[in-house]
Amino acid sequence: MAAEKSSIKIITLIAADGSVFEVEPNIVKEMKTVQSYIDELDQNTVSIPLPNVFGNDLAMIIEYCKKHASEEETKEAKEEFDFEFVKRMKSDDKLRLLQAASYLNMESFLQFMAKAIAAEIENQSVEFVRDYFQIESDFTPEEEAELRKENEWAFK
Amino acid sequence: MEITTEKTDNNMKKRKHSEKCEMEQSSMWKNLPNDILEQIMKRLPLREYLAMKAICFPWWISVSNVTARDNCRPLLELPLILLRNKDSMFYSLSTESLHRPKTQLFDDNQFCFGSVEGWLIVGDYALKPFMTFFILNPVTNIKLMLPPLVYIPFSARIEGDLYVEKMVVSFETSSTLNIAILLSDFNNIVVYNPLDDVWTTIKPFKGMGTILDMEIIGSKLYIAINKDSDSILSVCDLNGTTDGPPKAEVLTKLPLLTPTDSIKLEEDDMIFIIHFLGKDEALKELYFICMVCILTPVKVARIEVYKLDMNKEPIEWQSVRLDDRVAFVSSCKSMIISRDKLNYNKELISGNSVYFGVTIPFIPSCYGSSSKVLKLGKFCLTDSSIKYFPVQTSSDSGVPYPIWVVPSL
Repeated sequence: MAAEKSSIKIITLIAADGSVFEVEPNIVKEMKTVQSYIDELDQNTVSIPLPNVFGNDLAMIIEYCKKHASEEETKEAKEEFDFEFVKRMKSDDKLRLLQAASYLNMESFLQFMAKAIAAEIENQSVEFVRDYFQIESDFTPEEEAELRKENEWAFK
Repeated sequence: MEITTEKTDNNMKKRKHSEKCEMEQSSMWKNLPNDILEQIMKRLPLREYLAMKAICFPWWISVSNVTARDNCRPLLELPLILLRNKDSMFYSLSTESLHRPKTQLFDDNQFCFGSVEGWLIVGDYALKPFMTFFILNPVTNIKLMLPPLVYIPFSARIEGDLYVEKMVVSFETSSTLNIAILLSDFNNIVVYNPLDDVWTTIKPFKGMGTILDMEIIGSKLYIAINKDSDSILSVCDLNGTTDGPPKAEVLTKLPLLTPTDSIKLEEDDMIFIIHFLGKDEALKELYFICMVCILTPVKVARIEVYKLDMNKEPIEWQSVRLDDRVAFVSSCKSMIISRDKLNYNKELISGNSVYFGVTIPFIPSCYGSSSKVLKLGKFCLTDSSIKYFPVQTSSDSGVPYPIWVVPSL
């Protein structure tokens, strides 16, 4: 069985919009949701539909995984990549990628995205966070005032 | 007219459509699963962590659930210095400025005598000679009463009123609450026995002497004592005794500096040495820190750090470098924290350094009368460099006593 499993050469991932990605097995190791699916199957070629992840996002995730799975890349190069990777994302992308990471059960990528989002919220106001997550307040003005009072830890 | 109407309709349709899209988007983030929210929250500093509650109602519920659990704390905050006087304020290392709490923390009879985790330990003299105590979280404004102290032991006073100098509290397990109160004669300590729910006054040494400082780790109270011929560290188990009051036992000698040790002194220089006991809360380690000050004019000359090595037989102090740890010392609260825990403030805080907040007696050279001077600063153990943080406090509210506290929930 083990021998048969290791014979899987290419895994096909199908995103929500139908776009298709062919990746090597070591790339999907980090995606626990995908990996457990592969482990259950006893096939030489696998094709996995991912109805909760869009093609653009999946492309970015695969790019990230490729970089981080590579043994040739130095630690510094990976850090440099991470920095640029976050820089080219809009806030919306980050949130979608965070959700995708959660769905795919990718621990380190999830942490990476959470850190990137936390860095943007840090030192910002409640209004900024609402805008960032595109959420409108559903509190009454009285509730809002009460909440502010409750959480108004000293500064500002 | 018709064309316009059609246009308007189209616009309406468009708006409706885009509103629908926005609503879907919006509700998607509104109902962010708890585990994702948690991942973000535990990477936020305290202020933004608390603000997540005020975003929308579904988040209020999620965040309330998340904060109730122990495994999702915000990033560890930098300690703040509470400047205790009539008008208590906080000094922040990150902004290098004073901050006034939104609500007044204490009334005229209440004084802060220490801190434990995120809580200020406060004593209330309103019912003198009886005293009441509580702990106050300045972030949440939650106040918890401590077992009331029945009576301040006036028999022990030397002259005038006897006051409280410092308090230490430990509540490692919710069932055992240990409290010790150092009185202003620097001879007596009032301790709370949680088993019998009684207060006892102990004098931890015989004859003449002075208590330099005390610190509590679990139920063990460590007391640094200076006697003429002997300077010792005693330990007292606050839970240990069922017969009679807790007894202090001598553990080891203190590594006291002789004032002239490697300090260049001018002829008129006057020396003042302050001793601190402090702990690394995470590692349960006890530290002894000596700070040598020159009084004319007031400046810090030298700081030495020792760690109690419990594994050695006999138990003894080791002169140590702090390396990637940082010490925060003040007369009411001293602590040692690993810089890793302060990760988001790493560039703000330098390792192998002692951050101090002290009130030093100041003796003007031409006058006999003494006053006090507040000094906040950082002493680097690597190169003995000092950086002072100047603080402007109003002169009519008195020279403040600095107390370190780590703001938390």
